Formats: sequence, structure tokens, C-alpha cells
Amino acid sequence: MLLSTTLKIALGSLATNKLRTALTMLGVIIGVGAVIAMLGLGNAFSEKIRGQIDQMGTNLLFVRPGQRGGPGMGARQAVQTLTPEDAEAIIALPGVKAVSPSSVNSGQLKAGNRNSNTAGISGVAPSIFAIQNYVVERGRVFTDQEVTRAARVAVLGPVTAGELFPGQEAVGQVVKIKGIGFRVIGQTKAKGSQGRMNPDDQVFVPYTTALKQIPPRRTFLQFIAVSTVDKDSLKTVTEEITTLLHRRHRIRAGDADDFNVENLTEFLETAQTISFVLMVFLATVASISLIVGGIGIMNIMLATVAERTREIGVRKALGAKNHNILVQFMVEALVLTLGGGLVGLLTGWGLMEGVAFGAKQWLELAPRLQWWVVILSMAVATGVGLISGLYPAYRASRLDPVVALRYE
Amino acid sequence: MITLENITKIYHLEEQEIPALRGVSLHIAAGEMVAIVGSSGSGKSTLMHVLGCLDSPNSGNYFLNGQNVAGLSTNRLAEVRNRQIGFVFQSFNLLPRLNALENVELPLLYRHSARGARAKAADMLARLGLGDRLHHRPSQLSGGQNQRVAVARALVTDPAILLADEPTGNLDSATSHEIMNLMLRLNKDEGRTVLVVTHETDVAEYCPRKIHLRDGQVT
Repeated sequence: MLLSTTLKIALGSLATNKLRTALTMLGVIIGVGAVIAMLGLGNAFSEKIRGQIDQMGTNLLFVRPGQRGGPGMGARQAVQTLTPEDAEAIIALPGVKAVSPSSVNSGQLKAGNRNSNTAGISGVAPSIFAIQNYVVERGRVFTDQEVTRAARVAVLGPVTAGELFPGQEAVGQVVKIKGIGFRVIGQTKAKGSQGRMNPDDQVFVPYTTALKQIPPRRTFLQFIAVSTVDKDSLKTVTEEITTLLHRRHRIRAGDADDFNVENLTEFLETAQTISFVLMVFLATVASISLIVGGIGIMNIMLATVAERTREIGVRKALGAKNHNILVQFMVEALVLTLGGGLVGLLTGWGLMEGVAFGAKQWLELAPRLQWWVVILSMAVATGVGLISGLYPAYRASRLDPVVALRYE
Repeated sequence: MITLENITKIYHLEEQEIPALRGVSLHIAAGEMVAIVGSSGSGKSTLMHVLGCLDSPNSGNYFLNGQNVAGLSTNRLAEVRNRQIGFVFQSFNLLPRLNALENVELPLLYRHSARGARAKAADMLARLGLGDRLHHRPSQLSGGQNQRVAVARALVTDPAILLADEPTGNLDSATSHEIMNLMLRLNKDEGRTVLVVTHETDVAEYCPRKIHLRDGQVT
């Protein structure tokens, strides 16, 4: 018997019981849909975190004044013990690749009659560009000499540059930061906004200039960014910095620290691991519903076989061999699961996009329907169909035609 | 055409052996029209199942068209049924979801090549006077029409024997007469070998030869 004929028979018998067919498919639809949505969203979340790690810079430590878990940001900034000299001392530590002191400020930028109030003012060392993966697209970064003599030079983020110099080349122009004129010498490449802080909307100036010339003048830093030679050094360097700053700040054992060393990479990697575990857990729960769907299909197939015992008897009397009957019912089970899988795929896709759209305000996710997820879910649906269809179809194929013909 | 040699068939029912056929031997030549008669429990249903290759005997030989079919595997028997035997049942046994054409076409679909199946089925239905009922489902046809569809389905494979099991059991007397006349005509005009299993004497009267069965033996 031709497969197309068998397919026609299967579709015909499924069409006679539309409600039953739809309800049976529902189990597979929900299962496949949930798995696809979970994997898609979980992946998008993972990629989001990976993106943040890449952007922030790899093998990165932040040394901040104040205590971890202590008073909030406002109070922290009041702690004035972290100095450029601390940063210089850290450079000498083994395992440290680069260090940049950072003095962060905010205030108005002006260029001609245009101004910007959103841009962050970052006083940094030139090493910050390498540490935090900033690419300078135009012009150049400032030199160590410019840092030493506290030169009035600035590197603009692309958003800030666009606001102050729309449609113009920013490099070579003059920007006024809190009323002090700076020469624009470079412009960074767009990184894309990540959450609250937009790295493309800021102006970088030498930290010396920021400390000494931009009001309020200060002697202390907001943080020191440290990159290590490799990932394994993060821990040892953290310990070295702690020991070093204990000595430099004269903190005795048992006293509270006036600084803390943050390992954000580690934090984000932990978040990524958690999100992965959560995704696997949710996908597992979703696949349980797929198993339940498979049981439902087996149940219905058994009922169908019992209902159509007479038909099986007739077909056998007319010359159907055991494998003809087996294939007929297997195809029916496969049509159920593959149909359910296909609808589930679309449902899951819709669900994924829907959740991403709904969560847009507080978390920008870009979930994608990956080809391996599509193939996996279709393969699983086929597998469920084969497994749940096999036993009922086998039973049907082994029916004795004499008994089957007598069945009322 | 058909030769049975000492056929026995024993059913097992809860450890008990129930002999349904006890050494049945008979010969039916090509072109004969034979009634197999007997009361219920005489073994005529079992004989019909063996003759129709739906069941295998426990012992004995069954030569159908020169081939000993006793002891063939279930799949080989299915092939023999498909090629050699045309069934007509008491309750028609048409598939309710399929229309007349699809029902008649069915046995041809279980062959290696189903080429021309539809045309053959339509042709056969037309020959039986159902040319205008091709797309009707069994529920839309009368009892007599349904039985004629069943006869068309039995004949579409051009079988060696036409095996009718109580073909008039579900029909009124006028329709019974019509169906039996159809059988008779197929026998006389086309030379088909026709076997009618029945317990009704007036149905058996249509057949020139009668084989009586009692307690699993030919009398």
C-alpha cells in the first residue's frame, strides 16, 4: 500500500473525530510550546548576561570605597580614602595587567548652543579603554603625558558626540565640561545600552584633570578598575589588593574595611549558571507535559484500535497484511504528534516573543527561534509518536481476523 | 478448484477442547455454485473461515486452485485472500467512512501496484447497477444496495471463489431474492465459483449443490 494512501486513511479517520483529535494534540502542543519558549527565553537571558560580561570587560575587578553590604551609594561616595596613589600601588602587584583610577561625575556639557545633561563624566587613565573593551573609532585616546600634565582633552561616547555635534565630526572641536573647555581628541564606537547605564553616553577625560580641574575638586576616587592577566588570577589579585590596602589604609585585623573588591565577572557568571540551571529545570518540567501528552496519545490510540476492531477485521479479510495495519496506526499516531509538534512550535514561538515583548520595559531580551531547538522539538514529537503509537498499532496488527470480524 | 482432505479444527476454551471440524473432506469444481448448510454449532462458520483462509486448520490439506494453503503464514494467507477469495458478509462489512467507490477499491490498494484501482472499482459498481451511487456512503444506501457494493468489492479482484456468509441475513425477502439472483447470474453467466454459507433452506435452494454439515462432519 502506498504511503500517500495510508496518510489519506489516517487523516480521514482523524478528521471524523475532530474534537478528540484536537484534545489529544493539545498535550503535545503544550509540551512542545513550553519547551521551545523556555529554551528560547533562557538562551536569550544567557546571551544577555554574556553580552554584559563582554562589554564590562573580562577578568575585571572593581575596587570601591566603603563596605560591601554597608551604606548605599550616597554614603559610599563620602568615603574619601581611595586615592590615585592606591591605584599606582596596585599596578605593581603580580597578576595585574592594567589599572585605571576612576573619578565619576555628572554635570552639563556644552558645545556652541547645544548641551547635554545626561552624559557621565569619567575621569580615567588611558588603560580603561582596553580594560572595558572600548574601541576608539575616531581620533585617539589621551596619552600618559596628557594624564601627567592634566591636559584638557576628552574622548566622547557616540551618543554624547551625536547630541553635541549632530552631523559633524566631533574630533577637533571643543566641548565645555561644567564650563571648562576641553579639546575633543577621540570618539568611541557604540556598545549599545545595557540596562540603566549607557556606556555610549559619557565623556572620558584624564583622571588627573577630572580631580584637579572639574568642580567639585577632589583627591579621592570613586573606583579603581583592575584587569588581571587571566581569569584564574582574579582570586589571588583580590587577596593581594585586600592585603595591600589594609597596609596602606592602616586597617588592623578585626577592624572594618573602608573598601571592597568586587568581582563582577564572577557575579555575572554565577547569574549565568543560575539562569542556565533554571532554564534546564523549566524545560524539564515542560518536557514532562510532553510525556503526559504521549500517554494521552497512547490512550486514544488504544481506544481507536478497540473501536475499529471490525474495520481491522475487514481490512485483513480483504488482504491487508500485519504490517499494513501496523503502518496505518503508526502513521495516525505520528500525524497526531507531528501536527501537535508543529502547532506547538508556533505556539512556543509566539509565547517566547510575547514574553520578551511584555518584559521589554525592565529587561531587553532578543529571543531567537534556533534551528536546533526546532529540530529537537520535532524529533522529540516524532519520538513520542513512535513510542506511544507502537504498542496500540502492534496490538491492532496482531488481531485475529476471525475474532475481529465478529467484534460488535 | 477446492479440495479439502481430512480437515480438522479444534478450539480450546478454558482447558477444554472443542472440535469444530472433524475430518472434513470435499471437492468443489470450478464453476460450481454450492450451498454449505447446517444448523448453528454444526461447524459451518469454522468451515467458512478455513475455506476463506481466515483461519488455518489443525490438520489436513486444503488445495485452493492447486496450491496447498493449509499451514501458510498469516501474511501469505492475507495474500491468498486478496488474490483468490471474494468475501460477502451478512452485515456487509463496508467501512462507514468510505464511499462506495473507496470501499470497492480497498482490496486493490493492498496489492503491490494499485494502478487503475479507481477505474476498476467504478467499472465493477456500474456492472452491478450502482453507477450512479459511486460517491454515496453506506449510510446513504439501502440494504440491498450495500450488499451489491459488497459484491462489487468481492469481485473487483477477480477472485477464484466468491464466498458468501449468510449474504441475505440482514435483508428482507424481496432483496434477498435479488441478491441470490445476482449470485446465480454471476455463476451461470460468468462461470464464477460461488459458495454460500447459510442456515436458511430457501437461500440454499438457489444453489444446485448443497453440502450439509452436522457436528463438524459432512453428511
